[in-house]
Amino acid sequence: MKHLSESTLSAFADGALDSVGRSAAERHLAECDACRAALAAIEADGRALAAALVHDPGEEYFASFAERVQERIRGQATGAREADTGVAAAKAPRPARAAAARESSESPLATLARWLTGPRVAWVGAAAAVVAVAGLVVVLARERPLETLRKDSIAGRADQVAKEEVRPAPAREAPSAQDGVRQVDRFRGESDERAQSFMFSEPGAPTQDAGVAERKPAELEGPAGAAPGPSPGTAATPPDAAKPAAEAGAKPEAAPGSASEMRRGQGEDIPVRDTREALGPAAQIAPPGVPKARLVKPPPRPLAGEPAAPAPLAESAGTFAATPLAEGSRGDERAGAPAGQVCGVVSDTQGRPLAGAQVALADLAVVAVTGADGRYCIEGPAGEHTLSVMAIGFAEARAAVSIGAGRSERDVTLSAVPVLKPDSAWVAPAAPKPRPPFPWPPSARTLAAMAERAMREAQRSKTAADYDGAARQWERVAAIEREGPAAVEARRQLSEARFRAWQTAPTRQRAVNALSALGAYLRLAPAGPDRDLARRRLQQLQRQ
Amino acid sequence: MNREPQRKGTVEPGEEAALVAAAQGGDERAFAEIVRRYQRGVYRVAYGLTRNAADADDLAQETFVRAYQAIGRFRVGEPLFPWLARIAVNLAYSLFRRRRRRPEAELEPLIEAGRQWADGEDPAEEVAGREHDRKLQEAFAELTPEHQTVLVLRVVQDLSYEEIARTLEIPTGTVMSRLSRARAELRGRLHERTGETG
Repeated sequence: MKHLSESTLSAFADGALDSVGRSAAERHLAECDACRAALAAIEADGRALAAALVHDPGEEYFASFAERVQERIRGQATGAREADTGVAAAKAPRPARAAAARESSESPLATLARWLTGPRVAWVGAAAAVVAVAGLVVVLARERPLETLRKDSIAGRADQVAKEEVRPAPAREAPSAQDGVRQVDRFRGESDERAQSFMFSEPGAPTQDAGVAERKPAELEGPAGAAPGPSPGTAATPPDAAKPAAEAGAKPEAAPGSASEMRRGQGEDIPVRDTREALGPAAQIAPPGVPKARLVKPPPRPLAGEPAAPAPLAESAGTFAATPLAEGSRGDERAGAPAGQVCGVVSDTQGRPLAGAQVALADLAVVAVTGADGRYCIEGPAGEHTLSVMAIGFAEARAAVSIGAGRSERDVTLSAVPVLKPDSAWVAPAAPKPRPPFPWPPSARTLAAMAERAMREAQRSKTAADYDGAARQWERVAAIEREGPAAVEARRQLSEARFRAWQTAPTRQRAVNALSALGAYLRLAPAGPDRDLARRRLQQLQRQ
Repeated sequence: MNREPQRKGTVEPGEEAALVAAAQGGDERAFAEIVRRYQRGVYRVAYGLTRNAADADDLAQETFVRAYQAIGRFRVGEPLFPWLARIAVNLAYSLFRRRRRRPEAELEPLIEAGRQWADGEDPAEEVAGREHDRKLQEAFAELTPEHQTVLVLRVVQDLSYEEIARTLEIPTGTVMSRLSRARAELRGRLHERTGETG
């Protein structure tokens, strides 16, 4: 009998043969012990290799990974940032930030503080920005230990959010609505053609505006005292700021500065639907109630319909290949271009100022944080920019702003996100309801303990490789326990592991393994919910 | 008829294209999202090729940094992960060339394995398992970079032949033969070490 070649067996193990080849191989394997053994060896080697080459660095590692990548990207742009002062209120001087980075690599609390301050909040803040408090707590629990949250600050902000009446398109008094519409109109025509062009502003450095630099720390003076860290730039941390906001928010008359009172009346409301139309491809706002706002998804219509889009995008791609955006504030490196300011007040739909909101010029990665009175000032080179405003508990708002010489005013209103049942996309799936520990006979106890541990690891990491590893362990248990309740339990666990592996990373081979394991279990399983589950899984697999 | 495996947590093609386009346009949050979605896969490839956590971390981060710098050159609509994996593989090859053989690297997996099994109950079983893992890693380390790479991409990251072909820019037929030879090579070296026939 002619045996299957090494490469055929190898490809068969990988599920990579075409249907003709696969059928022929299956026919041969049904009759040939040697080839079946060879196949089993390939599969076993694969499992062993996967187990030996895989390492789980832990959830904390991945939770902070994106941030460390950003640090690294910024680090590679070092040297160009001599004039790194005052431009963005929330940017720490490099030495302080580098030092903070070094320290925080050991302390989750320090990492959390860093995470919540500074430009990184804008960068990763979209993840948290569009979730109500219950959802927020869950999301942050995934990323950070729950104990390190400032619960009182969360309560303060929750208070503010809870008092919000959430309306998709808040009704406005006539004069404000007019102002709002007029303001939006001002950009509507321009933004269609300019939305892409803001990326092409000529690089240049802003003139050092000593007055501005001084003003900003004063703006943020309220929370500054409570802020950690050496830098005045990172004065306002959202949890800190939320406290004064909670106190000030419920009583608008307590807000410092009558100027902000006036401006609240003229507050720019940026309802979701209007801005998306006004801003073209730059607008990326999730409608309230959509939990997946974390994904930045440009609305398909502008992308398809924008005649100007394909060419500028291609150009901008080239531009960014040459000059990575995360060189931070490009304003720092530019020479000669005039700079201006945009300032304003961020409030909620009730008109209460929002402290600790992140305001960014999204195209420049320049960030400021609103003070206790909800006021912000942000500097940038002249030209068209996208202003992005985020606060925990509120939907992000974006607006096109035009910076000219001197100061422009731009107030922003944020809508609270309604309290949502946490979406399963955000939250780890509920832990399987705990079973009482199975009383393994002494012969199997050790192996079963190892298998159970491997299973818990797989449930944590949710990788197919780990599930396959756990399955391998359960196979050893099942090989020893061939009868009785221990056999049933071993097979049940094995089929669970195989099924989960397939579910996580479906391949034909995993489907075959899962089918076989489920079949073995069903041969012994007594009636009950476990059996029913196995049957459903079997049917699900057979339908593939 | 190679069916592309769908992995939970990866991005559908349309969604991915939108993310990439946004990132190309300078949207830092979109790039952050890309990092979050592919970090585990990139880390798995990095660890498979370096087999110590420090190198894997360094390699994984550097992969995304390079990706950030080069994203402008990426063709929106093409699958992103093979491109990322390619960057990781190239970085790993550079690392191999720079370092040739690193004796201290072989201690690391043992230490890590020890940590993972720290609360073991049966020391004999633990040691046997670890010993086998170590021999396997040693045998694996002796393979050529090409063989190591196809094995990591297939067995650890579970890429299809097509995805591997795309990652390494070789034909799928080459993927098939290379995998087969890599497996045979690994089995041979492992048997030399363990004296096992199974």
